Amino acid sequence: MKLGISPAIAGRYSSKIVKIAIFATAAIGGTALASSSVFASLNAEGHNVSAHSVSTGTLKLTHAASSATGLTGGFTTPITLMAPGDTINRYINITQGGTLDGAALTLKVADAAGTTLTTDATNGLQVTVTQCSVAFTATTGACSGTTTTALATISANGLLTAQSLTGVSTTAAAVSYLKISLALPAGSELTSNGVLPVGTVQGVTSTLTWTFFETQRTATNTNS
Amino acid sequence: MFGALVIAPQALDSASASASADAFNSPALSVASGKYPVAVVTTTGAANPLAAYVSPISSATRLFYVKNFGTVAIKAFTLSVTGTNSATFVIKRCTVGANFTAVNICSDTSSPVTITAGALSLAIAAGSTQSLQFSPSKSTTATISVSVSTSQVRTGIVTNS
Repeated sequence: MKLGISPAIAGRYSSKIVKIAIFATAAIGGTALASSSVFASLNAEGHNVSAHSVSTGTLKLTHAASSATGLTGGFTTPITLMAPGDTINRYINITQGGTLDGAALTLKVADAAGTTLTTDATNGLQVTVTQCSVAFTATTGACSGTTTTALATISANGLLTAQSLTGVSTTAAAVSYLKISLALPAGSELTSNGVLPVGTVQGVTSTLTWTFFETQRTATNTNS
Repeated sequence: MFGALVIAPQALDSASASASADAFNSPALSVASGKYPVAVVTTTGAANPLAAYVSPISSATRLFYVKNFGTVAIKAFTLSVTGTNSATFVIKRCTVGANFTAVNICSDTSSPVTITAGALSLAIAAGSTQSLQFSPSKSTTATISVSVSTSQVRTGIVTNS
């Protein structure tokens, strides 16, 4: 390749011209190399014929009222006219409906109305959760299996903070049978001349949302 | 069935992400308590006076009523009777379960029984009255009070439902 330039100009720009020449040569040479079979390479791959299935489990928790005759009130049927010393037992089935085991099951209650039933830890509602190993007996609510205390008596006020449920299964597909007891303590209110005392637990209505909560079982590392 | 499926990552860091689930009732469970305000009135249809009975009265025998203005029955109440001018009172009731239909006449034809003020084991259903007969020894300004403690409310009930 000849460059048609004068010696003066060539001398002035000699270094740049040399670089251009080098680049041009390299470009031409590269093109030649790419088309040369001398530089051909081999590739290989391996893959599984049947696709590898990877699936995730589910964590599903539901609760429903007992279906036993006479025990179907659950968290649906309103409780009315509670008096000091009264106890209302409601029967709830907890189902682990997912494929993963759960862990750290808790229960808490929220009261949208915020009455003395839930703000007064002493005179307000007291809650106890009892578990039966089998479904509770219709009408009587008796347990023909083994009875355990899932949550010792605590005020509804205390249950505004989530509390652990002891011994209630979090194993996938398990069903647990719970009795939720709501008691209004005998208390010591004195009602005089038709006037309800200040801070009374009489004549008030709370609206309770019961929330069961759990986390997934501990994650595992498996070599298989 | 109530409840909800929640599979919620608790952290964006995939190394520590985990799922959780909860189940709650919707709508909320309504829990209501009853009440048992009781007061002394001069007629069965009177409204709750929200106060003790205080009034000048002659020595004539008359009837008063202890009325349960509440929604929960009581099994007893405490009666207090005082009067000015050193007056004393003879208080009578009919057989338990009966009421006066007029002075000295009980609904069950039984004879009135003299009682002493204080804790009286006379049950009064919600919205009902218990009549009592008062005979002041002289003209006086009487103060008749009634109160109900929690131990005088109907016996607690355990309900499976």
